[in-house]
Amino acid sequence: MRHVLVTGAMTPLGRGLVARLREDPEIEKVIGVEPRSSSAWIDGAELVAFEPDDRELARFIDEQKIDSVVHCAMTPSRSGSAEMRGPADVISTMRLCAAVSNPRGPVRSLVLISSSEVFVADAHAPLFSAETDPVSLGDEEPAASLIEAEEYARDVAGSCAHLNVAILRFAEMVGGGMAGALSASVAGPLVPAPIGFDAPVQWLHGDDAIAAVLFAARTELAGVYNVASRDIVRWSDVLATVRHFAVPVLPFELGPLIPLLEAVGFPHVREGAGPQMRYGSALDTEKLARAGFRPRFDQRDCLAALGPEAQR
Amino acid sequence: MNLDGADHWGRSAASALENRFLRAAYRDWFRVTWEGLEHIPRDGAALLVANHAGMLPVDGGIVQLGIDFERGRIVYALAHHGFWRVPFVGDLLSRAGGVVGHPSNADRLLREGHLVLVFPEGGKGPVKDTDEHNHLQRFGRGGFVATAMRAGVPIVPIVLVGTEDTTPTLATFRAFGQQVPITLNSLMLGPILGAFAHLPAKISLRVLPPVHFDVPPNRDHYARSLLMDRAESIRSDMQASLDSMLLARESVWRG
Repeated sequence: MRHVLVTGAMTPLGRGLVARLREDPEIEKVIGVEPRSSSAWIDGAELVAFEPDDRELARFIDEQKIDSVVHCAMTPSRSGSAEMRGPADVISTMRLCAAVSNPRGPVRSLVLISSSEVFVADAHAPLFSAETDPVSLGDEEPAASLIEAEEYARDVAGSCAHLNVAILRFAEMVGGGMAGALSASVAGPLVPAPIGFDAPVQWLHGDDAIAAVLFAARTELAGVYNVASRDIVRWSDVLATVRHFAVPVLPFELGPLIPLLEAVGFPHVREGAGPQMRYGSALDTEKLARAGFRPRFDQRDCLAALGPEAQR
Repeated sequence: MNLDGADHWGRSAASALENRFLRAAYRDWFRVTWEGLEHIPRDGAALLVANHAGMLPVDGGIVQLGIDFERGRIVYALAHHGFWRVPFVGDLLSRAGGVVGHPSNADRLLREGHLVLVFPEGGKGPVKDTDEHNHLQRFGRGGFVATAMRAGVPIVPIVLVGTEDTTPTLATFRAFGQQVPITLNSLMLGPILGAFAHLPAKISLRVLPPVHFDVPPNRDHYARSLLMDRAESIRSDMQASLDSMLLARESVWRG
């Protein structure tokens, strides 16, 4: 790993990753890619602009002799940047996969950042979802786009023997400068507390997230891996930590109530967040542990990053 | 680990032994007695398999409380996921050591070294016809045997007598495609109170010797015929034991 390309470089995850890569003396070149932005420099790394369907990307990767690509652009909802762009990100993933698939090209490792949102939160789902468990079959975003992007990454892994493709499914991010949809939903003065439910919640500390990406790129990891910080907590623990005013909400699908909730101060209560708030979800991270990665942080550390002291 | 001391399955750290109501129900109302408790392992994982009977069955709680009281071990009980859709109910079950009945959950619990209780009869046990009294229903498709084989743990069968008599079924009818029993309790106390109130039938339990499987663990697949065969053999041993316990019983109330 000497020449690294990071997509979604302006997202908190991308920024953190670029900064960490810059500190590594073995890495000679770090290039960030961010669509819709002009060429610039961030944290001492070159930032280039490529639109998702830009054909020039493949030539650029060849010219720059990029050997490792980290694709963070699929997870804006997790990494705290603006709204999920859905299908446009799938196109950019397709283009990226095509660009790295040339066997005579320089790329040897591709890391795609996906998320636990590919799994359906439901009463009949297991508490810990493993990599082999069935994913959502619906057309709800962001799950549908993430699953489609994963399929392209798997496809390129299957057809390109020269390439190691790792798909990392991240739990809800918090800490280390990261924020996700869930941490945003507890940032306001009012926090929803579904009546009669205390769903399991699992976080991924931002520093663990970056460490996992670096681990995957350095060890040229191949396959699908769940990534989360240690243990799980419950929604009541989150409410106790943030110490904001918990508003009891009816434990039904929140769909039509979302605009209303947002109007009275609930930020980012997503469409389809109902099952997540009732049943929750967690990831089985055994596979990544067997590969040799141990998260440094546990759920207490993650909650501390959510707490009033951390937000001050 | 939760901040309030519950484990990652949501089971509360508060001991059931300290709950006066549960202690009274177990010791004074149902006057629970055990035989063969030595077959419950002192440590290590095992899949406990029991018969399931009675409206709003108390058997899960009786086995959990009994093994906690008599053996000092925690039992996680697998239950239908539908309970977790109901506000408060799923949360309450989780706190009491209930876990959604999913093969992944069972596998993980066993690999963590726990005792896991499962009712292979599922929903068929509590709602059976009156002429099926004290007759074990089909043991599903033998999935519980695969779970034990995969985790490399023994199955410990537990037979309960008396649970059916806590809510005696007088008749059954079909509604909305479901078998619905009419119990003596619901006739006496109405549908809501009658569902919760249980008659003080004496409950006796017998633990059968552990069943070990001579197959390698961690296989993705075990032959269906083998699973069905082992499930049926466990079921018929349990039925034979239940029949002999019924023969030895002199009174539903006094045992």
